[in-house]
Amino acid sequence: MVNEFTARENRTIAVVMEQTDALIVQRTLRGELNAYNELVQKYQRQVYNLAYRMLTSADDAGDIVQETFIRAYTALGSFRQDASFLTWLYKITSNLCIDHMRSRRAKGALSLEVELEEGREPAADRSTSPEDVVVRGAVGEIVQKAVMNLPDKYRIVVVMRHLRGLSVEEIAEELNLPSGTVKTHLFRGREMLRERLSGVLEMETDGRK
Amino acid sequence: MDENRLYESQEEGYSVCARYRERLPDLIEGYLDAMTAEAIRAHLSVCFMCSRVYDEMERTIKLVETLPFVDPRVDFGPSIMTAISRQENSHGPRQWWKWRPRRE
Repeated sequence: MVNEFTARENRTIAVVMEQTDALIVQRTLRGELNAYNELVQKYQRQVYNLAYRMLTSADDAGDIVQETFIRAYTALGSFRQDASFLTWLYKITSNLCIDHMRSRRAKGALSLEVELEEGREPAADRSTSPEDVVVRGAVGEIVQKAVMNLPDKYRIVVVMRHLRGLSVEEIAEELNLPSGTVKTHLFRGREMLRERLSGVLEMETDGRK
Repeated sequence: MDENRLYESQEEGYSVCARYRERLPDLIEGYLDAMTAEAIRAHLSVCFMCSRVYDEMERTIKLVETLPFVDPRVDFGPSIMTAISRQENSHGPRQWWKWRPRRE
């Protein structure tokens, strides 16, 4: 049986989870180290997925997960409970990922800043046909690959908008970019995805007929 | 449905559609004022091609937002907790209280 909750029940669950996290944070701050492991167990999957989608490397994502939780532990006293613990973790993760991308590009021709601000238009990737969808397997894998193959500047904002659920203005603030630039990257990234996922979309359309 | 049936010429139809399509991302994000949003919705209701593009944009977002999480290959808990314990212990037992998470 599918477990479905109403919006009100979901809000209640979210509040209870935040209160639970706040209690675990308090226990950790009182010196109960094992309490922190509960937060690691609870959120490592989410943090891993954010890092993996930003960096497109499982190994790098693993390093970022560890670094995120160690940094979060060290700065736990500065965690303000006006946002959820996960939101706070996501922010640390994003910052670490962006730092990582900067260092990865240190020897490259184009810095992350230049690409984020303007950059070259990336070469077009081929789109999928409905046949590709059937041959290449599950839709999820194709979508995952399409997201991962986006150029960094587009993937970062798409992930921040649609995985973290940040607004354009919040993304602009975190990346220190004008809102207009974030909007442009977001829209171009989504257009690129629409083109690359044309096979999946077509198959869905046929299925609805 | 003929996508250009409302316009005098095909070129006019294309340029009108292009102007509406430019605003579709803003419609999705809810950035438009009520009058502009309504004008675009009215166009979508009569233009097959634009309504298809809009539908695809919405479904692309849904595909991304409902993308299943991948499972990490390992449990990071032990290595994280070991690193934190080592960080605390390396500063000596007498100063253990200094290396608790900082309270601000």
